[in-house]
Amino acid sequence: MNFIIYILKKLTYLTTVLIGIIILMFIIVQSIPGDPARAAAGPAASKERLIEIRKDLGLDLPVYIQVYRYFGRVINLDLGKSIRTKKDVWDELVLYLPASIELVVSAMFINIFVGVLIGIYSAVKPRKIIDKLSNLITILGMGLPIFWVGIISQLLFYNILDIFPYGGRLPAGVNPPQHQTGSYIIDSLLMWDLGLLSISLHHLILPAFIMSLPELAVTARIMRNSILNVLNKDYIITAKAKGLNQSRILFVHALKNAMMVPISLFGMQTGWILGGTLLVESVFSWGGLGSLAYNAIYKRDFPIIMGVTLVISLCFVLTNFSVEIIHKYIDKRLT
Amino acid sequence: MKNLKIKLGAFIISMALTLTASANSNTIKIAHSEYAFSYDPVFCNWSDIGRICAVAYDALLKFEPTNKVLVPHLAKSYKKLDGGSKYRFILNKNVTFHDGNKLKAQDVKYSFERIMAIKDGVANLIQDVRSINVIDDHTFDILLKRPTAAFLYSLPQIMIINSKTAKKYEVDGDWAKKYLDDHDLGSGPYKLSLHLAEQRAEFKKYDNYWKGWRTDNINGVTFLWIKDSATQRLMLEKGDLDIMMEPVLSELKDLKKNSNLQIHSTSSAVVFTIDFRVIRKPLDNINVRKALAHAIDYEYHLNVALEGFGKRAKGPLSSQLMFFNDNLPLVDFDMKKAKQYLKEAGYPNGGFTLKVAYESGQAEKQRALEMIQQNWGLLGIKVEPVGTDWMGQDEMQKNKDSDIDVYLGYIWPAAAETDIALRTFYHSDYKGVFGDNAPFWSSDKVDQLFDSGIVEQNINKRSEIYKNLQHEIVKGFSSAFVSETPFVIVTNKRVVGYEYNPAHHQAIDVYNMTLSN
Amino acid sequence: MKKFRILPLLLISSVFIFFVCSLNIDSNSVNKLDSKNRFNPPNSENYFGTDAAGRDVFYRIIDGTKTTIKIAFSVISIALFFGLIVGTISGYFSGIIDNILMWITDVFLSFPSLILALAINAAMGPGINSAIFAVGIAMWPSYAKLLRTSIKSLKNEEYILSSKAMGASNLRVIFKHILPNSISPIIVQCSLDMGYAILAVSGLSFLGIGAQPPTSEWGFLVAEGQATILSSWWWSAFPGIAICYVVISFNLFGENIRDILIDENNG
Repeated sequence: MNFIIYILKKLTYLTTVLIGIIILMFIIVQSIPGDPARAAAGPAASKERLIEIRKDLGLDLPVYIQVYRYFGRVINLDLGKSIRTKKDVWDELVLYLPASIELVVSAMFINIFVGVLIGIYSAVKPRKIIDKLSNLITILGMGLPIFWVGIISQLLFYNILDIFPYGGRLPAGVNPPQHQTGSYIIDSLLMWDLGLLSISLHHLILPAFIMSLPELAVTARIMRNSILNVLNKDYIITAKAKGLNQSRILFVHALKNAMMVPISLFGMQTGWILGGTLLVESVFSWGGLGSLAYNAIYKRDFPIIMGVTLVISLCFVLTNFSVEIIHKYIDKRLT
Repeated sequence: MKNLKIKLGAFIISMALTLTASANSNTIKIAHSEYAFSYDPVFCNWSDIGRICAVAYDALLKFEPTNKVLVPHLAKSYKKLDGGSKYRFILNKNVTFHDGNKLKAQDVKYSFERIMAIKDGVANLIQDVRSINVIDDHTFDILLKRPTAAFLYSLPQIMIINSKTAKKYEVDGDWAKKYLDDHDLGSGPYKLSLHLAEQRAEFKKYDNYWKGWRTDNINGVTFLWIKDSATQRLMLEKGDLDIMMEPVLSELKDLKKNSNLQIHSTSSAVVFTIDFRVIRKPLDNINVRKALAHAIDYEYHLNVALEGFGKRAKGPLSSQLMFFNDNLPLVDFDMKKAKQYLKEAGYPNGGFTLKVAYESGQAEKQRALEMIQQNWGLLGIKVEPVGTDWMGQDEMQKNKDSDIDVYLGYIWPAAAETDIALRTFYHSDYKGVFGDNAPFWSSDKVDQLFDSGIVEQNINKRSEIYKNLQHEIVKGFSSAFVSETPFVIVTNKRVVGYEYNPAHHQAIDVYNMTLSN
Repeated sequence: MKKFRILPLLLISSVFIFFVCSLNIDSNSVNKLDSKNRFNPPNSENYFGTDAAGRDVFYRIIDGTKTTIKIAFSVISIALFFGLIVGTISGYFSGIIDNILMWITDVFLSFPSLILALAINAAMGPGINSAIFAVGIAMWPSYAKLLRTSIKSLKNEEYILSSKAMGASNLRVIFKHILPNSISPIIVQCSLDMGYAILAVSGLSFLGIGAQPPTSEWGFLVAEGQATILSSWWWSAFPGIAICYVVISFNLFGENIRDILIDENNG
């Protein structure tokens, strides 16, 4: 019961934060220099037409009414039209979102899986070679500019070693699976086309790994410290004294408790990785939100930039929310 | 555990097999950096969309690059009537669109009216068209507002679309624009088979193409969008790519060493200009503009930015086109003169800032920007760069209220004809309508010359008029005319039969090409 | 009490030396075009080679150090400025003010910082200063939260209550007692965030909305050399390494400071 109340409380707060996001977006949009009516009407429009459009856009109304109308538009998924291509921004976002989600989820998966593994390994054997190595990786991982790593790794893995493709989601000549979710991995699994699955995975691994790199470093380090902390707790020491098996102690008792710290971190990390799509997707010709935003930046296509910002922050907020709930749930189970 | 290893092994093997399967097909792979967001032939004067339109659509006439003449295409024949204010066309009867609909005169009417209604892209080419009169299914008249000599040259850019299907997919009177986002409506040799936004577009050969198929035709075309030109180069060298559209010129030295590649370079009809927006202070003063033009190191641009591939431009018109005036006064690089002009203008020590828009993704433009930044800096003028891409820049050039002072731009002829090449850039009617007239400069004299030149039927008199026109433009100092830009593509050795077509600046005529083994 | 470790100290002082060098370099002469020495590979004269306009990459990188240091400190100052104001007010006062301020903080926190910075930077127009401002604005909430927590825990301490009872004004209490006592976690956070600030701004420059030519900003240099990386790898590779070097230096130094200032019982 308490848990349900907790969720409801969180949900209410979440709603207020979402309202805040939209208000902030409104403020940013307002601060773009230039006349929005002029931008919408085109440079050849007459004065009368400009006045008309200003009215249509509600630019003559008081600010709070404008905010209110902006809300209405966002809720109706009316994010305007791309300045250059004149396409509907929401349609564009829906088209590009699945590719980004696929990339981000894979990066998170690598982050959790590899990060936790390295963390455990270096906690079990502290100050040994693996621990030192992982420490080095951690330091490097947090310092690397991922756009640069993307460029260099393409040189290395495509040009010199020839084990990964040049980028893109599929090679030329290979058709994507039938569109169901938009994620090639899931769609090819649904079609049970293992060949296609392996090709898409092959294209996915490098960009996903590079995006996960800075976070992976953090996860490994936190996991290590968390395990070491737990291992020093009383009940573990008691268990040790009782003569329980070393790996049983580690995997059954210590790990369960030690996982709590990194789990609470995963929400935030998703945010960093979502931000990383901006820098990595264009390097790898990955047709997702990052590429969309990258092109829009050069074209000064503000509706698209604002749309990408809104969608990514929504993804982030919702992930964070779910992570918090899961964390609370596990926490409740443990205590 | 052992089981898992076997599964993993099988997985890796299947991966390796599928990877090798796709190599070496009879499909040509072309990479470019700018994503073509639509298959709408209204935009076929934009290079990225134009490339695609060239394989999927047909026009009434075609520009034949070897002999530089117009040849019949969808139109079997045409006749000039009423002293040039009316043309009668007769269509080929065996043409079908990709969904099997037969080409009729109504399709031509729809295509023209569509372009005139959308008022974008190639619309500026057919501003003189009054109406289309359908006479029967395969005969129609095009009525012009005035008899123009340039009209026929604009026709290769006007692609004819399938009006029946287009009407079916119109939403809220959008002339099927939305449908064309991911479909084609053409009758061309190749039809769209796969569209992946921001990734690639694949075209397969259309079996019922009206001109028929040879035995050695290329079976399919794949356009790949790859932002980074280093990646494009890598793919080309590895054989994952057949044509690279926009090589960085400084890389060509390296690429020449690779015997599997061939470099095609021609001088194009495109002129690189540095445009001064004359309606902004202090550029409204002609002496300031003269000063800036004299402070451009033209030699440096040719040797460094263009790596020796281009040549100095004399005026707004490329030497490739008719009526080119070879006797224009040339502006030289002379910092002393520049200082003198600046003094005359009342800015002896500079002291103002200019915002310069340029395409930041292009090496040539970057080099040009650095050069003017340095040279104008010596005059005491601060250059504030605004990086964009050409679409963004087009938007700024169109905007009368834009706060950009200087544009690094191109005079990019929409067709291989002198009037068409210059009109949108210098006639006052086009200021702010299309992005071409970046300086927002015009003069009554120039307008008059355009208006008399377009209706003049005597070729010698026309030549006189347009030579005069170029002189007038150069005297206005609305731009510095820097270079005639080279057009370079790099192809795989197996690509045979590529030829540059000045009427379709960046298009590749895949139908007339072959792939050798 | 832990001490400064030798490696971070060495690294950070080397960065400082580069910074001092860069202050003595004239950016104009570093960026002077030289059409005779283009694309020189690294050699004894041009340690990191030259770029397409004949500029020496080594000197451009050194020249870029001042931009990088400017980025690190300006971003943190902006974040700190807003963070301090919001955090102090909301920590010291409770109730409705606290709630509203925390709500604003949460709204900012619900954007991935790079994305928020992109939106702000794009709206303000390209340029290194707007990039710095944008990243700073995206980073302040963590400072506000940090400060609020530590003030909330200090507020009920004996000596603060007593000075309040003696009639000290709110401002006086905040500046005299609360801020000095909650400063060490802030210092730690600042030193750890410097590296991230550099990465974020150079990322924006790489995307084309941060530093503009002819600034020798490192992310911008990476982007400049990207197209020709196959024939002249040095143009893009060395600036990337420079970013790594400085960010790692700041990170290690920051961790060292954390170890000194905050007594961690670390396994």
